[in-house]
Amino acid sequence: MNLRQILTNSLNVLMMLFGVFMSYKAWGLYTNCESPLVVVLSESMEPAFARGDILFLSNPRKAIDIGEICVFKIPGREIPIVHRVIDRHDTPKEGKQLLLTKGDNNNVDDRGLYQELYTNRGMMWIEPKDIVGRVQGFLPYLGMFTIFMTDYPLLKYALLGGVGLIVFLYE
Amino acid sequence: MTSESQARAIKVDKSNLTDLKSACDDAVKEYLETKAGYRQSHKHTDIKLVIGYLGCAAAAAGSYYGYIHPFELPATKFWTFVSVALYYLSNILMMGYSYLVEKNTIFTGSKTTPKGTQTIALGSSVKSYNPYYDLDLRMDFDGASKSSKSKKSTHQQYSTAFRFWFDEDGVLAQDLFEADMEKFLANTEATHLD
Repeated sequence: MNLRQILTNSLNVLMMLFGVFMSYKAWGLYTNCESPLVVVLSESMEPAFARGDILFLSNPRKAIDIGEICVFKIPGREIPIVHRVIDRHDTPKEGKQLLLTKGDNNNVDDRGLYQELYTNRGMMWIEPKDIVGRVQGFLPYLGMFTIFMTDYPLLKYALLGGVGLIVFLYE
Repeated sequence: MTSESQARAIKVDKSNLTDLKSACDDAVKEYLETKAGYRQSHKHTDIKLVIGYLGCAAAAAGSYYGYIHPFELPATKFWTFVSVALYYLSNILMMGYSYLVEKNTIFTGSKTTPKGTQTIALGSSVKSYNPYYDLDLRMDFDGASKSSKSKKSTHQQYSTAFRFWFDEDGVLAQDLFEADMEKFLANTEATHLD
């Protein structure tokens, strides 16, 4: 293979990766949500969502209502949580809300979770800025595949490398 | 058949039109470069490579900007939108270039003689269920003398059945094939070098 062929094949691999990635970005812009697809990792929302379900998120402009299921991040914690909003207090100022959440399958609300970190002591509510997205739909169990790949990272690299190699060597 | 030509014998599935076409494409490219003395120009490939890599660079830059800045900021959304738009624009441009400019071109090149520079663009195609190799030959001649009359161009089409070049085993008769190519080239040159 000469340089031009290597560049052409590399471009094919790059465009395959960016094609998927940029579609995801475009979808994120459309839904106003940075990660419009998430996978459920816990059983705290049983029987609504099981481990491995894929959730479709978006961030509509209207205020969050009681009963909505939200994916949120507690400040200082990396892993997002998906739970239902069970209480809301709206301040007169537009876009300001105080929200309380609870997992359908949990016995208590999430205040214990909010305050788990020392820095969050006294935190009684979450706010719209903590919300990653609001659940609009779901696909049962299809996310098991990504959970499997996170549990076995080698599989992920093998898959990605394999597809990349096929595209690179394909003429 | 000499041992040399035996080693380089090209054998294809003669019931597969795509195989026949790509065998002829490869053979005519090699003929133009090695025997007819044309130097290949990679203009089309290079233009598409530049467009493609520019699009990927925009995508990478936008992704990096989104990675280091929080998504909620309007600036992040704006630059993400710009990079997504540029990436898809580059895809569309590449496709458009292939369909509208490059079309069926398989070889572009030129050769310089004392008389001037001869540029060639060769396109090839086959139609479904039609065992003919259609060649589309464009030649531009730019004379060494500076007079305006020295520029000439011509466009000729040739259609030949594959059966004239492949035997019943699907082996390409390179001597026959190259003789025909030589004839086409000479014929095309004659139409504008009168």
